[in-house]
Amino acid sequence: MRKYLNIFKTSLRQESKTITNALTSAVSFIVIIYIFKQLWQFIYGGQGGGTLINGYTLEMMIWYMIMAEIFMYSVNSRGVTRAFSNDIKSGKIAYQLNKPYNYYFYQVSSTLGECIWKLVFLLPTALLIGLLLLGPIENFNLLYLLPLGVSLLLGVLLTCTIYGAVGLLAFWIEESTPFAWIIQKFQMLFGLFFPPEFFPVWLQPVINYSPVYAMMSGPCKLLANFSWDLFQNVIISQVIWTAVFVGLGLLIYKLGSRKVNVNGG
Amino acid sequence: MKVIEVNNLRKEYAISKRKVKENGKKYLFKREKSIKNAVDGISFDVEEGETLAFIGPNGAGKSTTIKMLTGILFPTAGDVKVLGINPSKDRIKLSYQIGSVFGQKEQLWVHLSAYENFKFFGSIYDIKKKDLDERIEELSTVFDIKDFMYQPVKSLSLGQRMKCEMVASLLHKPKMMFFDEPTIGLDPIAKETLRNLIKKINKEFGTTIFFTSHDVGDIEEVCKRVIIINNGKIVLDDSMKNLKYHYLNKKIVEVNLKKNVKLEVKDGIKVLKSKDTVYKIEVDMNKTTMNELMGLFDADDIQDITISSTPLEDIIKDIYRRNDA
Repeated sequence: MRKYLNIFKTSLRQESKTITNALTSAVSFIVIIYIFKQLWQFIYGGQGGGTLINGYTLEMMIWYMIMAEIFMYSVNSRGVTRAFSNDIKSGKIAYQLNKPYNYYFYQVSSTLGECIWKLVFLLPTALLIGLLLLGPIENFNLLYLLPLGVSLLLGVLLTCTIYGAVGLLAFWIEESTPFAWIIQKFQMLFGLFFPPEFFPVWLQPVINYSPVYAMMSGPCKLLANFSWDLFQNVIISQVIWTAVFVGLGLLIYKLGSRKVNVNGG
Repeated sequence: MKVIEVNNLRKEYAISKRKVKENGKKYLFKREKSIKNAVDGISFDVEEGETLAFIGPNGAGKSTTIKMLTGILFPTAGDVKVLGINPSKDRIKLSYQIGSVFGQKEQLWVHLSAYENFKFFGSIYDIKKKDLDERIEELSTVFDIKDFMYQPVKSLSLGQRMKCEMVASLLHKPKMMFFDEPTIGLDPIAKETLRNLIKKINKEFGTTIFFTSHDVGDIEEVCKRVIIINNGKIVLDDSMKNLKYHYLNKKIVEVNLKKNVKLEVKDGIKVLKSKDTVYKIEVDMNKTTMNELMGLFDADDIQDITISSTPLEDIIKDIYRRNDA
């Protein structure tokens, strides 16, 4: 475990040398939130004025979006998958596979380092833009920050393990990013653009028990409308899905490492 | 003590391509599979402390062999033992005892300094802080990298970077080092430095060296034994000394005469090129003597003469071609 913590810390240190990327990403985050705010304001018919759509006020909806965009910006999902493909295509995998660590965990730890570095810039930006555009969240207690942080980190971890497991398919097909693209579109449709309550009743349980809920909708709902029951529900879902995808990732890695073809010999 | 034992090692790749119709056009969906033997039943042993060159033309199977020895690729058949460990079964256990350097591929974090990288690799190999500091000090002195090891890796020249790659691979005191074309892209001075360092690793730390390169200079300077592989099979396994002794039996004589002469045809003497009064002649020392050749000229006519051995590179090319024929 200490080994993977060192990989995480080294990745964080490596990312910290590229501040410009993180800053431009934060600027683009502000633009996106502003656009979404205008869009939802139009849907809510002006300033909102307490109007509820599927149980969400305009403010709740925008805070939901802010949290969802934090996930989208902090984890470059296709980038995670591409890292595996790039290692195989460039032959760099030769270096990675003969080191005393598990390559799947190595990539997940390294990606987590990148994500946390982005969060260092994204979180204050998100808080600032949210407070400026919407004001404080109704009934929000500062005590909620800790469980929210835990859920955010678990969501990021789960996203990395999912896209990492998809990346391992590169052992068979070299280019696994199209699979990541498909999964990312599901994540956007059922997690980013709308909360689960906006979908037909029959579809809502499917979303609520899916990984999309654990990696995105759950933590986003927590920020929009925190309750300890919801927190418990989200955390259980996140822990279960993380365990499932770590197991799946390890299995794919075990099978895939027997199949690997290293380019250049 | 044997550090590598390879027995009848094979690696097959299945190649799938679209099936061809009778009219020469290809089917849209029908595919046919063929098998390519990248490594075709090779066997060899390596003793502790040896410096072995494992060479061959492109696609001969040398990198595939290295990758099977280090546990990256799984063999289709055959037995491999490296330091008594089966690489495909105990890859992680083996990784603590071997090191590898692959030319033109990097393992270092480029935005960090080499020193930060060494600290990282130390933690990966579970080296204690005190031992790691001592090892970094020792290797940075041997490799003469103290002046630049605190700079970001991305700002280093290729030669400096390769030195740092080697140090990173040696931190955990590996018993065996695998070098896969480590001097590729380096200038002659950097090449020379790297070759000397590899020799030093072998001499000072007793590390067994398994080396592949297309640069004959590397092989000639670093290795005492050579295995040549072609089309997945071993075509030569001999000491460098024997290779030179048996194959360097041809001399190249370049002679500049005062006037044109008609050279008598003799067994073992072959004119490779002649232009005006300059002749390039190959003399097979197994069939004739230098004296015989000199007898063909009048000593007073010779303006200049150079005698050299066939370059090792030509010999190796000849061995590759003979096997291809």
